[in-house]
Amino acid sequence: MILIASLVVGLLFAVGVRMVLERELVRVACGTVLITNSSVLLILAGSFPERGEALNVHDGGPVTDPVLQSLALTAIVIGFAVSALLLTLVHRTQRAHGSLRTDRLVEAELKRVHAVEKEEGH
Amino acid sequence: MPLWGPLLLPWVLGAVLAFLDGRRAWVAWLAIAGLAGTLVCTVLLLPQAWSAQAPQFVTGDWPVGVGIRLRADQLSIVFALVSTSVVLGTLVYEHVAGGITSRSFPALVVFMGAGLTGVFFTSDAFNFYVFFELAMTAAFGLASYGEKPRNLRAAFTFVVVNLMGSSLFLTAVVMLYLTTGTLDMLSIIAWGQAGPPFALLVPGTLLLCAFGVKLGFFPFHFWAPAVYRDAGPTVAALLAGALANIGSYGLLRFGVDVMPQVLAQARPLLEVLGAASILYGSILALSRRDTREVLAYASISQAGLIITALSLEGREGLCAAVALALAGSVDKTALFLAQDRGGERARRAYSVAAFSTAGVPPTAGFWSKAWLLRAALEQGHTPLAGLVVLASTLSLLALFRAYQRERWLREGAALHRGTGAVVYALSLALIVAGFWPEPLLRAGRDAIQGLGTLP
Repeated sequence: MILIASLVVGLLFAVGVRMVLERELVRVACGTVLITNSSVLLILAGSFPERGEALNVHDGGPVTDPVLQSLALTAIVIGFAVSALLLTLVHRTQRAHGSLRTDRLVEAELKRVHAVEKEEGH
Repeated sequence: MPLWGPLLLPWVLGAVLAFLDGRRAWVAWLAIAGLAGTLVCTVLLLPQAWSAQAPQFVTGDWPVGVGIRLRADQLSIVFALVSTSVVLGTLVYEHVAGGITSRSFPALVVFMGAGLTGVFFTSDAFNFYVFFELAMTAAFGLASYGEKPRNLRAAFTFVVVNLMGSSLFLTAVVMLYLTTGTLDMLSIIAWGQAGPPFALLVPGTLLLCAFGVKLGFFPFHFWAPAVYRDAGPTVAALLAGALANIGSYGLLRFGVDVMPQVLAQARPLLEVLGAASILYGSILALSRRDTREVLAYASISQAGLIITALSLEGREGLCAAVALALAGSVDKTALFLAQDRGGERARRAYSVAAFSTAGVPPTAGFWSKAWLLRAALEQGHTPLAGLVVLASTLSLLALFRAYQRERWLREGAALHRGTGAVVYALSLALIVAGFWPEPLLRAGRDAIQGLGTLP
């Protein structure tokens, strides 16, 4: 169980990093969401070894650590809020630049820097 | 003063302000009054923090370990004081400089203040993460303030890079819990003294990376120049002056206080990273043309100094790290605010802050660097001391090359009485600390005295 969980966490993190390196902003945003979720899964996986049923206390069997579950819940809420914020930012960047490609953004940035340098040269 | 005063006040006020239109003058003044109130509450906590028993508060009167412990020792108080003052100064500046252009700006600044105070006062690793995210989320919202395309580009870079840092931090906190079985920092310290010496190495490394992204030292600095250049000047002042304090405080709290064994093992690494970022920051600062990029690279070199100070053995180096972080925070705010304006007043304020960054007497920066030099020489790290002197010379050159080039004589954008007062207050604080360094040096020494288990 713990092996499967750690493989899944690793896979999610790797896919997330791969997507952050993409050239489109939506994919970059999705990549960061995946990375956030891989750490949430890591938190939950922390309570797997002693896991019996979710909150099975009556027959003296093992119980899931409730602290880790509450940590995961908090992390999910925070991750959700930040992802929403990130997607808003993607939307506004799209409206301002008319494009979602990072190379276009870099072009716009270079253009601005050159314009400033030209102005200083005069 | 109860400990929850400076925590609850900005939080409640931020929630109220979120529903109000921040472009109105009275809303901005309400936010300013709230932050000033927070500052006063923190000042009132000073005598208690310096007494034998640091003020402490466990949520819901639960036993420690179940309830979250909040605690304000000297280190927390000095960082909270400086950060809140910087945030307050920046908010006043933005308001009197010509009005706030976004509805949410005052609320976000107040939330950032709340998050910062919380980070400094908490004594629970996961609660640290929650407050850290509160401050970061407010900063994410602030980063795009100004709404120009360049501001949005800066915001996107900032959010993506710092989200990675936050995930690393979360992972590290959970690993700490899984290894030690507790989230309370004081219990982790007790566990660390008895536990196996290498047990906390992995979470320690992750924490170094996470705080490295916040503080922006080499090789985690890559986002800083682009973000500081393209974000608005007040936002850059907030990010470089207030938010970077989370990084230096986190390294001091987790490194020195909670995991001194890991810090001892990491010393050679910190030394290399510190030297690399001092050199890298000061050389690239010289090569840049844009003033804000110069300032960004100067802050990378400053972060390198803090890391170097942490890598020295004994208390002297750590005291220097506290003094460097505090002086650097005020320097950066004054520089970013002053470079935005033209005219006589802005020139004066800029030069004072630049002298302090480079460590020229009589300024606060001089004493913090002198302390670092003394610690380095006492430990026999002569090359390190040479590096510090070299970095100071290079950053003096870089900052004054920017000074020569800057469009100081630009028409119509001079500092007027209000904005001038803010920038002057910051520069004056630097000079006063230079002539009367006792409070700064004592803050550094006492803050370290309160910490942990070092020899």
